[in-house]
Amino acid sequence: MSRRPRGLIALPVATATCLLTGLLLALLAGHAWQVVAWVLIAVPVAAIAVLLRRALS
Amino acid sequence: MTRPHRALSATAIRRWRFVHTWSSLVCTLFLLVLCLTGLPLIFQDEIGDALGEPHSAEVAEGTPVLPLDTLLASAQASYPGDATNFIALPDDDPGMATIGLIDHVDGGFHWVKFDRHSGAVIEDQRAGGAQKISFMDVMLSIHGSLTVGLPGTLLLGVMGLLFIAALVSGVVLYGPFTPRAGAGTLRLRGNPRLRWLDLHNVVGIVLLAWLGVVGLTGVINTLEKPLFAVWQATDVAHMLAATGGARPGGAFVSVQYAVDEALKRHPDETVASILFPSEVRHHPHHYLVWLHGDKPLTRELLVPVLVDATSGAVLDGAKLPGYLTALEVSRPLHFGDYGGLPLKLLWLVFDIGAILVLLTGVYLWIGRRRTRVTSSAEVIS
Repeated sequence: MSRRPRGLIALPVATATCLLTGLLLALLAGHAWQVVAWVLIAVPVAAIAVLLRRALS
Repeated sequence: MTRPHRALSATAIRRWRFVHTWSSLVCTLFLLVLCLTGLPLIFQDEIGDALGEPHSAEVAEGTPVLPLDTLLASAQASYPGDATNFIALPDDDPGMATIGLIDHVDGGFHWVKFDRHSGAVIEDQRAGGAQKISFMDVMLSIHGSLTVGLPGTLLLGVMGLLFIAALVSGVVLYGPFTPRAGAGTLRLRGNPRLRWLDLHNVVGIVLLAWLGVVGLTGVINTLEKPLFAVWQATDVAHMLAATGGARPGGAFVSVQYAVDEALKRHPDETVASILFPSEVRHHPHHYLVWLHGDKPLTRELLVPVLVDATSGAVLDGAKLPGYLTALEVSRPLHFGDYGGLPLKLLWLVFDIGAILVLLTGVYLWIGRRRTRVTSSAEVIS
């Protein structure tokens, strides 16, 4: 038996939560909330960018 | 490359890997086609503008629009004998009306776009004789049906289900294939197989929700024609039967009158399109007026209003069933066209990420096969 790798659950759950919240916010909320929605939807892109940067540094 | 896992036995991992490998491989080519044709479709408005797609002329606010009957008469004068199929009023160009016609000779569909203020023809699909097919028409036809109509659409739906199976099995396998250093670790230097495995796993798991949303809504969208046909054959047909059925013989009221009657009942809505009476669509003596709101969600949630084409009476209460509401909500979530350019740009990045996951998956499968063949050859020699 091995220990669960760090972030095994947190990474997919966090990115999925941000993306789904953002998509629903963009669909349901008014114009004032659109920027917040875009930021949330962009979280997975930012996560990949950070991970790539960490791997290449 | 796998390590002992607290929840999955080696046999379970082997089985899930089988599911993941084959569900992915069967649908990969189709998904690549969808991802590639989806790229220009994300920006179809912007590309249309760049290619000089005509729009209605700009007018001062409050300029009255011509009655739809005037535009319809103009279309019918250009194509005498052709039946009118629909009138669409696009919400991104309120000054335009598209009139869809059915050729009385070959039964082919074609359209003419009119300026609603001046009555001028903006674009005629059959101008010059030949039917114009744009680059976007081709992309949409490949993306929606592989250019072969309903069978192609349904095949894409099956491929979408396989894609969902690939995602589920991918999530199950994500744990056993995650490096000890932690989730999100990308071993980009050294072993190329580990590099592509990590990219496949990390990009796949980070984009999981988007892939799931677009895959699932894509599957729902493939059922659009069958679901609307079911609704028209059941709910619409029952509703019309309950009102006494057909009243053939009388002259039809004008389409503008039908629209005005529908809007009197729903003053806060906007007209999206009007389907003309049609035997095939199970409303041979009624206009079907589709209305929508102006918010991102209500713009997609269409409200159907049936107007008796003979008497002009509004037959309301055609509330859409749950399966059609699900279909309507799934459209914006699939196309990502409801949140302006920033959302489209994010859709572009996600789409490229999906292509990366597909290509790395194929690379890993080929690499694994080569390793197996090499090992077998060594054992034999």
